[in-house]
Amino acid sequence: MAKPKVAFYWCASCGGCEEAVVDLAEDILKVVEAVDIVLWPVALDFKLKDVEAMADGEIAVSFINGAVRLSEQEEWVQLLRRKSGLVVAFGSCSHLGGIPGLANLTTIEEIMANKYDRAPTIDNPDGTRPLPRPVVDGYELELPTPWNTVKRLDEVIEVDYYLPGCAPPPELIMTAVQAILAGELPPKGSVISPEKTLCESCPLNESKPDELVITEFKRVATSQPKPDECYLAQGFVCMGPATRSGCGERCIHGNMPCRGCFGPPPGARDQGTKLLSAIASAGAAENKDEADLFAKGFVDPAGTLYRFSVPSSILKRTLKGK
Amino acid sequence: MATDQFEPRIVGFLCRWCSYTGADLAGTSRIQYPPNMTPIRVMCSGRVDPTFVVQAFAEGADGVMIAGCHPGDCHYDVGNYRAMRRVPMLKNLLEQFGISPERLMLTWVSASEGRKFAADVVTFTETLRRLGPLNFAGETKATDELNLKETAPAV
Amino acid sequence: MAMFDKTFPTLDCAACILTPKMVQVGQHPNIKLMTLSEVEALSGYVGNFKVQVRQHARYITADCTGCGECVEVCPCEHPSEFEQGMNQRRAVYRAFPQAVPNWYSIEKRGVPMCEDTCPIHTRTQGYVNLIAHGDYANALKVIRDVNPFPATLGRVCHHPCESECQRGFHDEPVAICALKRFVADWEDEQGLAPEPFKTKPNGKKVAVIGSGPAGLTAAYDLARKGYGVTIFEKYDKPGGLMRTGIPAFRLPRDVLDREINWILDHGVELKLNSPLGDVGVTLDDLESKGYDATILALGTTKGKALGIEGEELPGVVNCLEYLRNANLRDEVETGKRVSVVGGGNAAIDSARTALRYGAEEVTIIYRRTRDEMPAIGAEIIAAEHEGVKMHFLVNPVEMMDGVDGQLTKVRCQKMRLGEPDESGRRRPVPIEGEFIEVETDQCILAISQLPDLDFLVKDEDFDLTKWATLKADPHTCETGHAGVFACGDAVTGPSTVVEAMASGRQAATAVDIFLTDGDMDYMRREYHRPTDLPKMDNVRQPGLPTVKREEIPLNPDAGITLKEVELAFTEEQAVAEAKRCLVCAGCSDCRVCVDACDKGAIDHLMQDEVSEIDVGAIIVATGFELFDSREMPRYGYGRYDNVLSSLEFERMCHASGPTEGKIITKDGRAPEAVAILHCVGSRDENHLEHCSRVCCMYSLKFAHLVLDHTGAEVYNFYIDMRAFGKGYEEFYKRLLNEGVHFIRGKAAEVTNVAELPEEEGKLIVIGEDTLLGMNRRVPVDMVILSGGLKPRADADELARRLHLSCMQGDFFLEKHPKLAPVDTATDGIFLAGACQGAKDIPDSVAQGAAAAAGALVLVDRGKVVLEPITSSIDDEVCSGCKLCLQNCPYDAIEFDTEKKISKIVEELCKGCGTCVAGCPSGAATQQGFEDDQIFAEITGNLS
Repeated sequence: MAKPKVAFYWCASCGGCEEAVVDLAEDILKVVEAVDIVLWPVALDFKLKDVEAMADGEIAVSFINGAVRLSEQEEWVQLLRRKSGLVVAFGSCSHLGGIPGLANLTTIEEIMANKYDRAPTIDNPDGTRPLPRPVVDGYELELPTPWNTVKRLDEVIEVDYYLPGCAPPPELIMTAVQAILAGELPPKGSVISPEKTLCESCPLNESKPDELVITEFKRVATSQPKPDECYLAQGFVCMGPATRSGCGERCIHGNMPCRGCFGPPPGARDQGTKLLSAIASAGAAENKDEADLFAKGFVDPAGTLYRFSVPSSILKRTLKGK
Repeated sequence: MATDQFEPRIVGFLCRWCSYTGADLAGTSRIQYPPNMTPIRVMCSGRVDPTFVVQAFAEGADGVMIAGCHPGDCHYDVGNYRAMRRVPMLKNLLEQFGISPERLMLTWVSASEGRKFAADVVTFTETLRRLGPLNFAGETKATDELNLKETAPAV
Repeated sequence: MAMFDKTFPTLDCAACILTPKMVQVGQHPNIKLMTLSEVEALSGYVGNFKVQVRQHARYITADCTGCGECVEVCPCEHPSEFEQGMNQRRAVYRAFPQAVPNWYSIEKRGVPMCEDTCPIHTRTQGYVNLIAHGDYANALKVIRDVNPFPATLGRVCHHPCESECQRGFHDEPVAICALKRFVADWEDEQGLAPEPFKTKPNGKKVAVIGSGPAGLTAAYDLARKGYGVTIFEKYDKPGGLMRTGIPAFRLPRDVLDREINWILDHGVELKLNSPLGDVGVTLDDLESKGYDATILALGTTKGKALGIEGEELPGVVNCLEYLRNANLRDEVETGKRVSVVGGGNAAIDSARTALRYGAEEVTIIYRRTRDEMPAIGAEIIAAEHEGVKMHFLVNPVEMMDGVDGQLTKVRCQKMRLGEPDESGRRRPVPIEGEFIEVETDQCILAISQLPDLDFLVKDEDFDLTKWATLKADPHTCETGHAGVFACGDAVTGPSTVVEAMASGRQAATAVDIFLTDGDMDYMRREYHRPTDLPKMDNVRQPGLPTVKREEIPLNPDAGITLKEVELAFTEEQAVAEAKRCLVCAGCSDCRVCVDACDKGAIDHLMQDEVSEIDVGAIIVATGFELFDSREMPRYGYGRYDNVLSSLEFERMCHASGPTEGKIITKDGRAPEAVAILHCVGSRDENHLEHCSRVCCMYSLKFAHLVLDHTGAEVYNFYIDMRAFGKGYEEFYKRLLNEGVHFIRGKAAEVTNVAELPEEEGKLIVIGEDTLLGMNRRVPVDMVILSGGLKPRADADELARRLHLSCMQGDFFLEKHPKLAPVDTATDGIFLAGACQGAKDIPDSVAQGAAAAAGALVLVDRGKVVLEPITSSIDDEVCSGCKLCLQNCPYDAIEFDTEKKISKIVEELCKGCGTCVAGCPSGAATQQGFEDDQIFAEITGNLS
């Protein structure tokens, strides 16, 4: 029997998810032994036409990382969807929108202006911008165009499973691969990680007081958290209470409050407002002025609460710049 | 009377003890106020999850009103203090999503303040008329596909 | 209801209807009456309420038999609340004769500022009010309880009490100090010798070094506690600075001698000419002679020098030495042109003494202004009166001599006032280059005094402070030498007589503890701890008439001699002055009632008791308050004597009321015409918007009573007649037939400005008769204002404590106006009577019965049904983040430390849903208010 065909593809991502695959170390040999990799742009030279040449559904499973924000990415993922039996959204960006999703808090115009005009290291007196159809050496090229709104993978194509994390931890990847190979698949649409939130497995949860009161917020940029006390109790915004566990508490062990890359648990419709509600409720403010001051101490709430999940929030993007 | 006046849609979250009773009193006292606000009764303003507010905006509300007992008068002692602490933070968040903080109103209405309740609805409706329609979902959808313009290089 | 005379429309006696009911309640074995009590907090839920009740101290125990002997002797009078202020009651009182329980209580509002400010905490209002009552002997007893020097302090005290007297904020403070002198002198004039207090010797001996006010007070206190006290005095006469410093024209020697002798009468031994130190007694001597403790009350005997050039010149003398020579020897070298440097009492005394020993011209040199002078104001005035000149804003910089080396001039720097210093007084600052010269041949320095401790500091147990005073523990008065305590000016620096006495008292208390249980920490813990009672500061009585303070009479024969200058009040003056006391503390704390009570039932030190009681249901029946017609000045209430409130009129009609049932004007006449104004405050959007429901009918009742008692013409001004109840319309008809004049129209004004001859001396009610369509002016002798019913002033506070809602001002809100008229939004709490809204007696009684039935239903069923809106936490979802715990005001969320998840205790959950909104994982849900249900509502509302 032929080995099942597997594809890896990357959209708007940093490459960290590719590293995660490599991080499987010796285990990757088991994967290679069991499957036939038909597409992996970062490592192997396959072209669009090779994939187009395949029969629909020929690829057993496609692992797609990164958010979708270019016309080209849209074409690729739609092609892979057609050709694949299963599509797994791999990592935070395809699962939730991820870091690229923060672009939804501004506009593509603003981003371009910052990139090509305003940045202090830019010298661009002519205001040159990338063009969709530039002519280079007499040849007209067609370049993909970026969208105003960054999307999760499942906003563009149907997704069967989600592997959360920035990047997904190797253990979780192996669990998923083995489940697929063994045909022991969870219900379609599942996120392959525990459903409880991070506090359950957090080593610092013991130190959290029963009556948590946050008097003012602290930021890791300006003060260093104590490594042995619940970060929320210290006043640092930790996304742990509103974020799935399964990551191995990597950030916590690195003395960094949870940033929320695993996304919300199933019962939370919106990761950001859920955490906002929880931490605001624990404030000490006793009147409107104090509440305003307390809120003011929470710098960049959207960027903090939705660091990995603006495109999967209820509001999805800002209206600013409209 | 202008017939093409913008009629904002307001979702109101009213606590059962003070504000809902106050709204009821406005009704039984036959006090006139605009019909723009449709109420949702909750037991306490502390029950209002900020998720409800963003959901309401996402579904087309032009404004959201949260009304509870006056500080110190909460039927549940301090539930309204939770609302009081959440709202300013939520306003800051909404602003980052391009939603004016003025579109979220937190007010205290006691069971006897039918008149105040009506006045709050009037004021809020006026504020929203001034701000104009929000149409969050429609507007964001319209920008979704907005691509980088094909501007020619200034050579 | 107990305040009403008759009920309507049946005209029954209110007391006859109410009293049996009250007695029944008072005697019922299952009813525990908690009067003079307040609900402070409520927790729990229907069937399981916990009510925290503060039972205010009554200061009278349950041994009270109600005989009323205490009332007879109580000197404090206050307007009787029950009689609507038309009668006075005493500070010890019962509300009314039929009151249930029929007990007396004492009204203590707090600690009066005069007592609080007094360094020895004299129960000032106690003796002042006894003087007002002519009970001078007991007044002295109150004073002597803490003060063995009434006559001395009555003359020389700097009386900080008067600065804080609340009367002083109205017109002038009560002359508390002069009243003290009055009773002391009265005793002497009567030839009465005070009996020493009885003491029981305890066999222990204490030595007191120094016989100034501190030492004498310490000796007095210790002697009263049974100690054998010996005072060692350096000079040949006792009294310290009271004798050596204060001149006889302010404090006659016989007065001082008498009071010191009275202290000695308590068994105190006095050894004169016995200085402490090598030449006299030593601490070792005292120890070997068996003294268990020693108190050093050495005082200040050294004058402070200026430290300027020429200070050693002959003619420059210190005030202490100067006054001591004058006061002890009656001879002192005095110049012709005397200058005195300083602004305190010693300076003034020196100046006035110099005038009496031959000075022709006396000038006081003071570096600040008159306002900053620390001397007693009256003394400064007296000195000026006697011709003492004052140079302000000048500071000596050099004493200059003439040819023979004698002092001729004091050169002074001119000063101006700068910023205030630590003492709050503006600091004098030199004006560069500006000087004056004061010609003088004797300069008395009265700037400050120091203790003479050189002989003591040789002993290494004793230390000096940086101000060169003796170091002692500020709480326990202990020195470094075991068993030796220190007090008075030697420790504190220069002070006044009463301050030195306070210091002596502190040392005596410390010694007593030292020689008994040894708990020296008590001094730190308790000695200066303020009482739990509030301070009676900012007491204002609006409308209080201004009464001038009595002036202290001066001795016309005194001149500038050693005869006493000021005289005591006459008896009439003293009584009049004492009556000016506002008795702001309620009870003056004179404690004469304690002796009057055979049963020993009076306990002035009783404390409030706070208890928690478990109840299943609560009925709130806190009633109403009458609208205060002062809010409508056009009706003249509070300005015209014969404009009465409805409750005042009820009391007036009552046989046991202030006029014994006679309807008469303030000057005792039977009225010829009476106007009754309906709807005062009610149905008025400026005051009470609601109809008070009872006023029409009680106004008719008043009309009937006036007609019945006096036969006067009665005019009822009404808006429309609301006779809505059973028998009410019939009652109205009856009144129509009785000849009452009904004028339809709200009265506009009540005035005493007559326009017609027949209006002279009358009150004229002006209003429009809307039936006749004309304005009316009705001259009457009495106006009764039928005020509306309004919620009690503290109803909103009670609502907060009981979690009730209010409307129509602060009337409590029922659960439903028709279907649940006595229930509240909180299960298990019911409303009855006028606290829920203005209503008449039958309706109130019906509501009371309904509320009782509501409570009985709960009791009978024995279990309660809760609304199915409680919250719960899904075990499978909860990750144990604990953030919900702080959201629950009822502690209904428990953290299961085994499973490491939160759990909601359903019986305790009240269903607010705050924890659900604050749960970041969505583990918490609320029945009936689930997230998805609310999302669906949002969608529905917006579709």
